[in-house]
Amino acid sequence: MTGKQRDERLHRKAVELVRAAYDIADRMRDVDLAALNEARRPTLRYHAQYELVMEFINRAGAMLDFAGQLGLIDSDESVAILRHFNPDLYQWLADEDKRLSSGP
Amino acid sequence: MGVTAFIAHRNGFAFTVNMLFADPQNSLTPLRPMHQMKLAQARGEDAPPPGEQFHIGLTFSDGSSVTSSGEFVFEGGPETYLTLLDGSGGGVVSTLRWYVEPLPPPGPIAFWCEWPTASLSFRHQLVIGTEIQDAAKESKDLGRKTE
Repeated sequence: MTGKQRDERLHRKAVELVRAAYDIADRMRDVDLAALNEARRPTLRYHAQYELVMEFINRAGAMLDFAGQLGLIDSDESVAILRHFNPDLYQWLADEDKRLSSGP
Repeated sequence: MGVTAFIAHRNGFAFTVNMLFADPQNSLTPLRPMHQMKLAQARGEDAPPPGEQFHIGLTFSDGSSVTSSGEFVFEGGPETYLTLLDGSGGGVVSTLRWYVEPLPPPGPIAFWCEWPTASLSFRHQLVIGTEIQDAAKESKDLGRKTE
């Protein structure tokens, strides 16, 4: 963190919450999409598990962004969280991406 | 495509970008290129090709501007920043909620968005800077404990 004394308690909490947010995104792979869509308007329904997971990944990314902007997590640490978080999830995203791009 | 749902905060404002696609089976989501941008940054890899990136920007009445393609903005970065709060995508509707800090100067704000993959190019100007500033003055700080 630049120029300021970092509050270690806040720092640890920020890391914990960001990791938890990415963990929730990962768990969205197992959510019952049909049950979730049942309560949604037709135009707002998810077409693929990928859409749901991507939604939560970007939400976790927003938390990471704000933690970085507020100086709660430094840039190296942010990069490390994102780079090393669950390679299995990233591989799943890449596979789904290819599958969805190739069409039905 | 449209810009809606402005919310003024004490130090910044939020707005929502709504996109409507004609094809109900559309599998494009702007969240994908933005996540890929962040991931490439984290891995030290090249950014996705410009044609695949999603770009959004605001130009204010004083000539200053802010843009984002979903990349990280760290402490000590630019004075004005644009952060994706959340969004959804795929199918007919895509929604992106953004946060800008600090508050804009009075006068018009030009919003633009480019996403070549989806053949999307959008530019719209709204005279809303003063309204956002006025609304921000009405905000209350809930972060402090009262005696």
